[in-house]
Amino acid sequence: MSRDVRHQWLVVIFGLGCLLFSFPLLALFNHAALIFGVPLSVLYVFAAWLVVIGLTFLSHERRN
Amino acid sequence: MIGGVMIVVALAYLGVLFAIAYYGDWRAERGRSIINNPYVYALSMGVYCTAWTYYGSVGRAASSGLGFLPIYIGPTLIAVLWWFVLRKMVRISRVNRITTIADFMASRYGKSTSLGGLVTVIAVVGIVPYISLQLDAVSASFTLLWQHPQPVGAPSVTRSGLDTALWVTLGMAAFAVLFGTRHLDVTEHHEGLVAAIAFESIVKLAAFLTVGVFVSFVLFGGPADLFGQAQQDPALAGLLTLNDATLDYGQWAWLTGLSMLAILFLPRQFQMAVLENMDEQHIRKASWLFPLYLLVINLFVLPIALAGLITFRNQPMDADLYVLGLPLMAGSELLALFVFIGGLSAATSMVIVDTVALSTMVSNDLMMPLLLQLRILRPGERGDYGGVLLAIRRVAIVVIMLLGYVYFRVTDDAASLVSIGLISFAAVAQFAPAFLGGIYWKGGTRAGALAGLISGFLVWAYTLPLATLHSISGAPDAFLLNGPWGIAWLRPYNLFGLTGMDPVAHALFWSLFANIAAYVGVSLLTRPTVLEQGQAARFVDVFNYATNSDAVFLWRGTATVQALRSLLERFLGVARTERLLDDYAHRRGVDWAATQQADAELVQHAERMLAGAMGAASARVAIASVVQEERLSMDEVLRILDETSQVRAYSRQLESRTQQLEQKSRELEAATTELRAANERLQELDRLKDDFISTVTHELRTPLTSIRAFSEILHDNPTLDPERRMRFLAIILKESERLTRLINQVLDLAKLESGAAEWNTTEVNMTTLIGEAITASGGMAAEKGVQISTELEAEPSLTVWADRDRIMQVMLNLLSNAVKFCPTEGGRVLVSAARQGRWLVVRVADNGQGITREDQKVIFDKFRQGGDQRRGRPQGTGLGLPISAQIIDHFGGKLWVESTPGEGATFIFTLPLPADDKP
Repeated sequence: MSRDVRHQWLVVIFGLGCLLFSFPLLALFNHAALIFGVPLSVLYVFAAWLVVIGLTFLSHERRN
Repeated sequence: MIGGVMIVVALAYLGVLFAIAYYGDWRAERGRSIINNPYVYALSMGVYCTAWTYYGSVGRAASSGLGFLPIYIGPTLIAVLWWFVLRKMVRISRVNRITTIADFMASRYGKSTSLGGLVTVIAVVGIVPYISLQLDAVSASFTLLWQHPQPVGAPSVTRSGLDTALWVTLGMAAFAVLFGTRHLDVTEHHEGLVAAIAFESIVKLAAFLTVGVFVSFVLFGGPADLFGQAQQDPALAGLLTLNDATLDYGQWAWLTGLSMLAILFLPRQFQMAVLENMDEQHIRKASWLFPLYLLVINLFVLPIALAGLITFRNQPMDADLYVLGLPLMAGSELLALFVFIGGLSAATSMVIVDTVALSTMVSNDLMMPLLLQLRILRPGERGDYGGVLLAIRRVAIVVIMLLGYVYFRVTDDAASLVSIGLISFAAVAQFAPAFLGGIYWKGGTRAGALAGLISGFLVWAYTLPLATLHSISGAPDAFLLNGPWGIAWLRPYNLFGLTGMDPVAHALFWSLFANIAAYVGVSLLTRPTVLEQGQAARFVDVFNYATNSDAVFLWRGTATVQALRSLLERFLGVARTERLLDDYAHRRGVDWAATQQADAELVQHAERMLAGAMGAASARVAIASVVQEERLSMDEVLRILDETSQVRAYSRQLESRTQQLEQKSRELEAATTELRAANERLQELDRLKDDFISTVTHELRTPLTSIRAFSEILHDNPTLDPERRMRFLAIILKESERLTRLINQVLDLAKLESGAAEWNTTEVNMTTLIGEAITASGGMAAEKGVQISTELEAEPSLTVWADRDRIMQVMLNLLSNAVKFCPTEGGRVLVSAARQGRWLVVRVADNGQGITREDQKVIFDKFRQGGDQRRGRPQGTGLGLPISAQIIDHFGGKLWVESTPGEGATFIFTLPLPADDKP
């Protein structure tokens, strides 16, 4: 993947992040039900957070 | 008991910070930076996490569940775009030697002192609540520990332990002064500071994770246990989701947006992320490491909050202090001490960096321009102004800390840490329109930026800090409820009757609305000055300029080198000035001894160096005081910068292109002529090649034909008598020899012409060689009765550098030619060799019929032989002379013939003698 394309990915990740942390998706997982002892809402937020970080990591650190 | 220990440990911790800072500076001076790596860079950005995060997040989570998180989600999202946004800010700052965010704005909008001052005021006023938050948290945690083992939650334990806050304020101010103003120069990186801040980031993270693990796994049975208990408890179950009681999606969204702006424009973030950046590539790692740091430090916030709510169910314990209260409650004093140090590190890191940033702004962008313009400071006079700058900074730090204390005393006791912090966030968000507009939109003008900032700031001040002063212990007064003078639409929390938003969201909306409208509107209505346009281009198109762009000279003036030097010395010190000027001279090849008058480039350079110490706007004023500025004519400036200038430049380019085109077409014509000549030459060569081939074929066919003819005779007449048979066989033999020779020579010539021949160049003694050649030709000469004599210079050193075999080939060829063309009776050949200057000249003369003038021209061509063709078949191949000529030519000599018909011919060739050979 060329550098340019990778930089375009950043914009995509930003858009994805905004989507993950905004109303419709946030509401979708807004339940107190415990998954592995953690409320779904909490699990979702931290998981989405990790996804954004992970994708940013990949687009910066992956060497072709 | 623990109180005394706490003070000792806190002082020791601050001592460690000093040690790290000095170590960092010490390493930097030796060029072995400890902060020049992306990990330290990312950690230093952890200055974002202050006492707000450390104590306040838990408090926030205790009342709004996940509501503490948007403040960290926003930075995570913007960090994805850092590669574009932050890198641009870093590049602009480095190129323009930016010292603070106020300097950045002032510089962008035409080095405007008024804008720099305004940004400074907004930043100071805006950050004061934030500082008060740190004082609040530290003094509250201090009080809690100090009063231990008094029962936690007893009425006397309030956050505003009476004078604790003042002592904390003074202590931190002293620390910040000592720590933050160790040096004057702010343009170089504060390596020690960054190292200390990165260390603090590790300490607070470790402390918070430790207490998180302790609370979750030691006091409770893990996060699952806590969440389980919370779910069973109707009072706590609501905290596990986003809902009306905690935080709705609207609040979530604007808090996220607000924190996106805060991470970019908080003075301390700007300091760490932009000004202290050592390498743009570090942004790559930081843009995922820093969000990861935020994620990790927030992992245990909700568990701790739930644990606190469960543990202190019926006690008046401030949720902001759960982090410290829980270990104390559990009797783990050592852990509590560690937690306190963690909180102290969170608070001190914020205070240090913010006071460094703010005091620099105050001195560079507010006080210095004022002092210079009011002529209280006259750079033309003697004096050390570096000291003045430092003094201003120290006073500024103390004043800012005291303002924080005052704010802390007069505002609502009941306000949570987060709500105080958000006020500051909303203040720095006012920078966003003019800042982002400044780096992406060339149309933004100084007037627009001023208008936007002033409107936004006023609305912010009215709707947030002013309003909070009118709400004591959460109870609003008449000003808040009914508006000033009873005007309902001016109510600070419900401006223009807007309801349904919480105060911060409301303030943010109206302030940014006013801000953006004024910025864009006024920018479109005003015309930027020349300098503004120049700076706009430099900022917006920063990636199009060279890294050290001195290319745009927007300014022209004259000054003496001496005046500039003494100005620099006054602000930067003698040693540093000397070093900087030496660097400059070295780079540009300037000799100071011979230079009296400073040119525009040097003036610009001096201004940039000064800007590093005192900000762009101040530097401009200072420079103007010693320089006779020539006003650049509009025309000149336009030519350099303006869009018109680009048009002009284009038209000029077009003109020169036209000239170039004309030039080109002339060149093209010449080239065409050359091409035509070359083509003719090629055609000629082609024709010659064809001729050559047909000649070769012809020449080959002649011997072949005779071989074949005689073979046939022999074949058809088996009864031929032996004598004739022998004669015919001899002819066949001779002709095939001739054929072989011919083919060999053709190949030889082809090799010579293509340059593929091998040459073994050695020292060749020509006297010997000629003797050998004559001996070799002796048989042929004797057969024809030709007498060969020599006339060689007695000197034995007729030595040349050549290929012995090749030269021998030439000699044999010339000798055989000479013998061939000698008369059958009385033939004589004379070979002579002599030195003529640097040349060896060899002559081979015969007394044959000579060569006609016409033939002299052609005998060196292939297959052309001299002599009368009618006198019988030629006796050679016609290739000997061309080959000889090529060989002599290869060694740098010449082969030619001199002849008068009827008087013999002389073939002469020359070879260069070695230069060092003595005559």
